[in-house]
Amino acid sequence: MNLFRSRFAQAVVVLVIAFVIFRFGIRPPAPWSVLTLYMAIVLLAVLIYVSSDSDSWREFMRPIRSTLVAPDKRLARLVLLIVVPLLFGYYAYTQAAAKPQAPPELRAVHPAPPGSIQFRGKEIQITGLDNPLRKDQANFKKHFAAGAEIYIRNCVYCHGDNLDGKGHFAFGFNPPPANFQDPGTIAMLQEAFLFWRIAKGGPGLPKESTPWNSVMPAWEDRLTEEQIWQVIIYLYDATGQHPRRWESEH
Amino acid sequence: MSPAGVGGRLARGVTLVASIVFASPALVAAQAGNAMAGKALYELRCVGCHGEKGDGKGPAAELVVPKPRDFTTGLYKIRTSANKAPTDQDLFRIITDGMPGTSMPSWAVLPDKERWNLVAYVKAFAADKFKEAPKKLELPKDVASSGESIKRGKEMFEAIECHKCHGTEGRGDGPSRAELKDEWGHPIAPANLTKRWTFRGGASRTEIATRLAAGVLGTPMPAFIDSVEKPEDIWHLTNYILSLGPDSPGYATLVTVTAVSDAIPDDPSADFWKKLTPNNIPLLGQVIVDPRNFNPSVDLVSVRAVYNDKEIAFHLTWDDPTQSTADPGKKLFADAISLQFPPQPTPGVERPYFLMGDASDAVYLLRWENGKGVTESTANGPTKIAAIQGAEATGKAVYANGQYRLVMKRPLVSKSETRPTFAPMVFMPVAFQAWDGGAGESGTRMSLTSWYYLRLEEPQSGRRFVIPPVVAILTLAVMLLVVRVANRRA
Repeated sequence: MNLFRSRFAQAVVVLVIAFVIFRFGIRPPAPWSVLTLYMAIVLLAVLIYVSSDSDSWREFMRPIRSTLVAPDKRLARLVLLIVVPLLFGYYAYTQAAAKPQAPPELRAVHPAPPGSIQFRGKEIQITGLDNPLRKDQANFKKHFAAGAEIYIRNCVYCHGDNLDGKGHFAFGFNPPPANFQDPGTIAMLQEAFLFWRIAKGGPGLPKESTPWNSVMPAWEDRLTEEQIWQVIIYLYDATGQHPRRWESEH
Repeated sequence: MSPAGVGGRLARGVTLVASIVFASPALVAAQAGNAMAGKALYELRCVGCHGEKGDGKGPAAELVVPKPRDFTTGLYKIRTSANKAPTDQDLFRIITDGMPGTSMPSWAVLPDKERWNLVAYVKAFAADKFKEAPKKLELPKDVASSGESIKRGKEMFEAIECHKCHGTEGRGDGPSRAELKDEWGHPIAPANLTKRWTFRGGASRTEIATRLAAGVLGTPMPAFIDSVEKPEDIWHLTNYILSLGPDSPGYATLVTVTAVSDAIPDDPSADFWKKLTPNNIPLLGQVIVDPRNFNPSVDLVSVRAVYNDKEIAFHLTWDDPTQSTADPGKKLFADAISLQFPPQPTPGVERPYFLMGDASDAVYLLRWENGKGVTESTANGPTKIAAIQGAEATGKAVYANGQYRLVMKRPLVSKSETRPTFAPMVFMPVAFQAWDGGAGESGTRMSLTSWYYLRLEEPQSGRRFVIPPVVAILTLAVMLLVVRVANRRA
């Protein structure tokens, strides 16, 4: 028990416990930079505690000083003098030998849509545009079914059967195909935004969204205006998401 | 603590253990699903491929290869039973895990109960085929893998003629491959045994041994339990198959070009190349420009790249079951592969459109074609390709056992504006395209990648051998100083 009365041992125990809690107790795991910050705060608190009066400080320093000078601690001193430089050297090696990683591809995920687009030679106003098929409630089921068929014949290879962006080819492309189940995608966007993205595809993206990397085809070459609105109906209804509405006029 | 308390805790512990055991998917007890409840879900999730009538003729059926399962025949490829009827557990597992290398995805997102309902509904399409209960398949006692077992497996592989379909080295390139048809009359490709991650029915030891023993129904893959010399040969074969390739492709995100000081060999079979770590890049179908390619043949290229002070060389390895040159009469095209680079460094992160550039930004293609060799060209889109005059690139390819190996070389520096210059420690965009002419691929019917990065590593420097000792010595010096000061004060 003598060991645990020592100030130095107490400080070490507190640091170890704090590390274990931060490292394994936080889910999902905190990044190392955050851990380092937390541990620095704990270390500071421990130092303040052990130096609260001069007796406590002297007691805290005693094992450290004795390791440095006491004749009977020669062996421990020798071991430390060998092990610590080796550890630092090893750390330097891991840093120097690290393989470079591919630079991250930064891009705007939901760039601002244009006010209007040219769709097969016809101008379509995007701002304020709603899905015209939603007014046709009587044929909603028909449009949904048509959208489902368009989806599975064209979109499924990237966006997946479950609309979660995990289609056949999804793993090999960067940026990855959109996951429509994610509340951060279509639920945040007006239907007109989807119309623009489907019609113009990757090549129609503004430069901040890396149009040269996106494998999304421009579907205006293949789908009619009505078919695009049908597949949009399918995307929202099959995922249970609702499109964002335009701000009301003040 | 009171005995009741101990008993209570014990009971809770047992319940906890039991719930963990039963929660693991392999051990889920088969549940009686509700076919009526399964119907609604089937019509939402499955009809696209399998069709409303369960006949595998949904609207997507014409696109996908292999074709969706026709449930009305009651015939299932993947099963663990000794007779034709699969167990409910087999159907449940396929719905849960999906079938790698096909269009059947994992439906693990659906709750267990809903998946059991689907099992019940799918069985109802061929209720009479399930009258006979599935018989349990008894596998011989497992034989652990060893050099000897693998050797025996290889002998068996030849003795029972696996190579006739699967090829001598297992790449699915056997002489019979062209004639193979499934029960429904569709052409079917033999599995490439070197790519376990595409095994339809799973890549575990037991799953492979089960398919060897019981066969794959509806396909030309027979049951081998009675044709092997001894029952345990099933396990020797399994061990041999497992020795043919890695369990996962380990895809690269960056192509590293190694610096060398010597001459770079032209021969793709040279030992020099075997010592380099491959960068495995997945290739996918081109589905943007007509004609589209939903079921690409070449799905992986292994890239080994080196450079010295004069030239850069790319060693590419990819599987192709047939070696083909252009033959318009037979609708065959030449096998080909190409590397794509921006012709000149682009400002910032900008670069040409990944699909062979566009009208405003061209790409440089370094391409090899069977029968034609290496060519360099400038492309402004997949159909606007113009050869660059005055070839600087050379190359040599070998084809053996369903695999191409190719070396393409080029000077490191180019003075022309149509060709890129390679410089060490620069991240350079690179993309890949491949064509399996024997599968009718040419032009836009190709497999491809979007942009990756290529980086020439820094010329062999001793940095990582110099810095660590310096750090260690400095640390030691500081520590000695501290000890000294402490001793002087004491």
